[in-house]
Amino acid sequence: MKRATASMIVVFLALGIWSVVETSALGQEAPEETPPWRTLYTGDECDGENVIALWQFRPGLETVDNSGNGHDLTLHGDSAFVPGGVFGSCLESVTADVKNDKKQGASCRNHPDLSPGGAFTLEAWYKANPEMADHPTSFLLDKKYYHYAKDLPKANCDYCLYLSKRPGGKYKIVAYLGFGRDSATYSSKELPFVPDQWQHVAFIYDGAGTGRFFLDGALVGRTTHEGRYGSVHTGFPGHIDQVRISRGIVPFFTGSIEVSMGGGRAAFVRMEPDCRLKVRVVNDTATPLVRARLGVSLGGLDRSVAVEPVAPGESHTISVPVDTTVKPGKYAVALTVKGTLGGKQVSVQEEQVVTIVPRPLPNTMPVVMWGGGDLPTLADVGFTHHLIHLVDYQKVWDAGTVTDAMSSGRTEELMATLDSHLAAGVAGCVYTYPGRWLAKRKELFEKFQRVDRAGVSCGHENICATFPEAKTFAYNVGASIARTFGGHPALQMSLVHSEIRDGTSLCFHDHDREACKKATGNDIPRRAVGKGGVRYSVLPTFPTDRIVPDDDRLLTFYKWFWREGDGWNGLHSDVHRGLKSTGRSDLCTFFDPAVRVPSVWGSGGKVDVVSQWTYSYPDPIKIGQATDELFAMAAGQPGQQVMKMTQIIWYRSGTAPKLPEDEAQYAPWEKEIPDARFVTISPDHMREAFWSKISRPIRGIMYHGWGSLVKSDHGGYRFTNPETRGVLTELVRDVVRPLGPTLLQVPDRPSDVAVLASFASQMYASRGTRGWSGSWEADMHLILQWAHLQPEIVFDETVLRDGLDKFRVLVMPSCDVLTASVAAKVRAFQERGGLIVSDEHLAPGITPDIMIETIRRKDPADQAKVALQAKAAALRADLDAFYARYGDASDQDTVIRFRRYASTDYLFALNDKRTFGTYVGHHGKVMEKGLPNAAEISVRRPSGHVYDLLAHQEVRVKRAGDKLTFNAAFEPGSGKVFMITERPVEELSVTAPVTATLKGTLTIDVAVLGKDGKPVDAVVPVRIAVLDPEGVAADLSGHYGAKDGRVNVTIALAPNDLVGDWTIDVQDLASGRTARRKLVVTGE
Amino acid sequence: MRGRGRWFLVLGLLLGPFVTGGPAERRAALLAEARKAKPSVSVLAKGVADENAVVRRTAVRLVAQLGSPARTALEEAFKDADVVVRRTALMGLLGLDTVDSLPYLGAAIADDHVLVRQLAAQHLAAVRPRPPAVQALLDQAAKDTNDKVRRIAARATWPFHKETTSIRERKDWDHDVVVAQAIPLPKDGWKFCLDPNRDGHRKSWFKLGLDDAKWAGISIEQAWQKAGYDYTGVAWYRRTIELPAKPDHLAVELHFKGVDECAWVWVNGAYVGQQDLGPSGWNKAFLLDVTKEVKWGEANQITVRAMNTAHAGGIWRPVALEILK
Repeated sequence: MKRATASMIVVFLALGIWSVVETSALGQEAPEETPPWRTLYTGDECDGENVIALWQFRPGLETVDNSGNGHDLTLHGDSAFVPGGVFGSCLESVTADVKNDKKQGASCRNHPDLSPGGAFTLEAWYKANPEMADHPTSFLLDKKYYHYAKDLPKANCDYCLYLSKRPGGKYKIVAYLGFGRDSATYSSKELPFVPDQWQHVAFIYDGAGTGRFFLDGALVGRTTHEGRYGSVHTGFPGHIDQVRISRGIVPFFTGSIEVSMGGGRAAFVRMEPDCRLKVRVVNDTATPLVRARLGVSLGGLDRSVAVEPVAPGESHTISVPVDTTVKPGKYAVALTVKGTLGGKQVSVQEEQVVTIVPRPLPNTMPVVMWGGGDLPTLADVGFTHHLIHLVDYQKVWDAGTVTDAMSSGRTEELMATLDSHLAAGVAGCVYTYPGRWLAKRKELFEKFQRVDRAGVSCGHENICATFPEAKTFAYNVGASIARTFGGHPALQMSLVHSEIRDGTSLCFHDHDREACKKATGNDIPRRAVGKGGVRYSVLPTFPTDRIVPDDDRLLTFYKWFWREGDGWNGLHSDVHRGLKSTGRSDLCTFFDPAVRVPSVWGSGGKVDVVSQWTYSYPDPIKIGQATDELFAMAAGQPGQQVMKMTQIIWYRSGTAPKLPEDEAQYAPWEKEIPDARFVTISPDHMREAFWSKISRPIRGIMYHGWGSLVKSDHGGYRFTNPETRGVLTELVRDVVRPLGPTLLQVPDRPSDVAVLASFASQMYASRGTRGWSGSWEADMHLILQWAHLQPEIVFDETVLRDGLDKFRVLVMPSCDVLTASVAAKVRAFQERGGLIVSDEHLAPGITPDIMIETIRRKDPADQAKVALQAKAAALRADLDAFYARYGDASDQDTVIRFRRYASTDYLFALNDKRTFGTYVGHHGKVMEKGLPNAAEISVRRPSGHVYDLLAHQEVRVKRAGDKLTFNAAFEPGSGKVFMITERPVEELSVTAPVTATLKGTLTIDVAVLGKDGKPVDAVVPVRIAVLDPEGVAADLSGHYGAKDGRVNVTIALAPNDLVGDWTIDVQDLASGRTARRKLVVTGE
Repeated sequence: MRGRGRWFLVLGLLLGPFVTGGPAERRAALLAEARKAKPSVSVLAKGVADENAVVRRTAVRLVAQLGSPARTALEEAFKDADVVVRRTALMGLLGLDTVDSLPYLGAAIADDHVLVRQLAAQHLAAVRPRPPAVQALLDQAAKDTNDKVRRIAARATWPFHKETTSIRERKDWDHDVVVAQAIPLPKDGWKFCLDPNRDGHRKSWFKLGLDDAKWAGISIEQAWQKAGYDYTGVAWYRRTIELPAKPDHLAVELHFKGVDECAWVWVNGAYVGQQDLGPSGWNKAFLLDVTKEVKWGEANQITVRAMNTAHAGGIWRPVALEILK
């Protein structure tokens, strides 16, 4: 281990009280003698050659190091030496926090002896005050200062020992050891917190990568990190006594046989094949364990396995099959080891828990928390995924090839974490950022950094992602994760970098220039000095019609740069390939923010999904605009899908920048947290943003800003609106869960209104939204939505590949410059009768049919909206004589959108009627409060039957000519989805057997039928509940999307299911029809 | 002028078999005519008189494709009530090789709709080389009431222009920016020189080593009229300030709380940006990024070219150097 250079170390700052309820030595013969650690150390135990320091706080000698090595103490802050210790007096320590921000505890001067190389042992007695339960971290001993990852030499030396709060009133004991280049965490299992009770803790590091924890002499944790040799301001609320630091392994702590589940999984998916428990037998005695047998009792099934002899200090792992056909639940597993130790019979028992979780239902829509959160709260809100970290980048970099992603100790811990996720119903989304990691390592960044034309560093932390070593590393990171954790079903997604391309820049390594020459035929153009392009107005010559040749050199270069030249798309493909290398095709990879780049295909490389985050203010329907940009991007990568994130946080600058001058106008949160940097999205914006994105065929929804969603330990994100969490919970419960399986199977309705995002204009006239939804181009999209049009964003590449034949209207905002081929397609479109809507920026080589003059948004937000809606009304007036829209609404604030499956339409309508509320509205920047609204909605189809999928009932419609019309009323910020079928739903057919046996299968056929007895050609949301005699839902009960009106579910009855009368309840969530079938389940 | 547009419209309503059906059908008929091997100018020209603006726009676009034979129709269309028709007609006329485009540009630069004036200004700005007549029209555009037109002309005639966006407004900056420190520029001790010929820039009055010892002294945070200058036009301010050692910062911006009416700014001889909103800019604050131009721990020279066209003028509100984090 590395030695610290600090002049002082803090010795003990905190100690909390723990009790052990699970012991690994039940039944073992009790030692007859009092173990030494229970006594006051004397003699060699006090000043032997291996004792580095010993503080016993003896009366009158409280500060003295009784090892005789001179490491005497200095008392700090409010700490004191008091009576009532284990052996007399002790150190009373207090915490240091915001209210008490000064040094606490006691410290001694630094000395090389205090940083032992190789093995060492730390011991202390501690008694925690009850308030320790409120502290996330309580330090016992700290010679490290940094108890978190930090890429600084001084942060990666020495050691600290602290108690870490865990959910459910539990704690872990943690040792964080520095190994020079990095640090490693060693932690105990979770332990219950018991205040006001003396406990003895010992941590033993063996100098070869393994650390063990003992609490009151019992082994409570073992962690191994292969290849490891080797705070003063966070105090401890309680008392500390007899603290000793020793070289080597203090031998009297190795005294037990341990049996536990270690290194493997303890949570499984029902019916998951080939599942096994790993049971580890550890011999922590000085005598070999022989003639041992392992007994495993799980769910009434007992197994007995012979255990090979286990040498002293060694362990042996036995793999035991797990029956996953049992019904979901938690099962106690009794582990028993019986054997001979030194001629005496020993028997050790341990009871642990195995969890069997229900199988996932098909087409479950992901609800992703982009960030962390505690599992119970995440599950309560309805999140299905959140971000986790699973890779030791340094380890993978050092290996230079695919390797274990973590040390075995961390792998065990993370496997247990993934088990917890599986049990909680919240999957892990591993965040992979190899490129960013390379940029953070100083020596590697110097090698891989981007350079300007003169070869000088570009300065910012963004590597040149085309270096072969970086690409190999990226693959290795993905593949190492897949190899180590890819078998765990709780790992379901991966975020591949984030925000990395924001910091990209032109790069002039030899390999960059060669790649450019190879791809474009030319070196990087002299005029290309920045990534954003070159304004045509500064060029000495430029075509007056602003139509440039297809092989325009600058444009060709920039297209290459953004598609492949900056390297990130290729590197993301490398990570993606690595993650898929073990065959987990369902491990979904995504990149965000994928459209914070110019409008050219390829962002994210070959990842499965592209995503983007968007702030909902000032107009929540901009979420839909950004989503449409994502679809335009994904169109370039066959099979790529789209997810959409809404930011839970709101910037103060965009919503409520300054406190009102009159304090009487303060919102409640402004009184409570006047300095909040980020506040919570308003509840009505949360609703409306949700409806805006769910109306598009996205694969999942995503949110960021945990600290603003729930009341928790906070950073900059503040919890300023308690209603928002409830709104999201409600949306997931009432919309995503019941309708998600349907919506995931319903594609978009092809649009006949295109919006061109012109790459040529972005490069030559600095146009484009860059994913921020804040420019005129985005406002034009809002205008189209308010005009009840359904725009589809197309890139130059889309136009060239797919043409414009399917469109009737082409909207061209800020299209100052076009390539000749795109211009030709546009002219041909117009010659065929297509209508061109543009603004005054349009390249003179094209003449529009309708012109919308640009405006620049200004506060207050209501006036900006009025101005844009006025343009929407004018556009309607111009278009109406030439264009018949498919759907319409009588009210401008009712925004509609269609998706379509076969002959069935899915009409989404959201309520955008808003006003200034009292949350942030008094600042005039955001109308955050929704208002009730109503509209008459029409659809241009001569026949059809309309079903409200949230109300589960048919809607009364009027049929006139080629139109259906119906009325809809909306709550503030709310939305609705209507299913419009050609034939009415007349019957819900359920076919199921009337008897079944345990371990047998049971197939349920559900059909939603029309009048002719044939299934409707729709995807119909259906709820299926298979209930046992006690009313408990069986595995695979839940919501489905009945494609083509049919769904088929096969239930495998478990051996431990209940026999008796079962019920099958089915509801068609369109018409509301229900059906019930009875079923008698008998034994085998 | 728009009266003639209405006359054309009435005429169109009276004209022949083409003007039948709804607007969509009439537009389709025009497009069908245009697709013929030899489209009829007269048929298309009749469309220019249609009652529906979109049909007229289509007609004038199609007419323009016919070249010189369409000149008369285009000239009539150039008088249309609809701005898009006029723009399209103007582009058609400018595309004719056989005509002198200047009269049309002259008319367009005086059009009552900004979108026509803007188009004309763009064309004028693109003319190379620039004869005096074109320069005169650009000078006229430089005094336009609309900022968009004025900017196009200014960029074409004034050598100093820099697109500026405060980091606080940058779209690609997803982080809060706070002003960690503000260093007010001294109110007093500025040098001042009137520039009635508006040619100070040609004399490099922004240069770092310029000898401005003979310039008059003046204070800012007041209009120059208060210093005794009863003057309308361009004037220059110069001052050197000492800056402390380099602080920890993300960016540095000059924050002008108000210059009446327009301002162009140099730091250490380098042009850093402008506030060029015309008269409406007199009380509007603006920010200029000077991160790369300032020299910490040294003397820094700041030059401001101010222009007013009416009433008071000058740097009448405080100026500060703001350090952003």
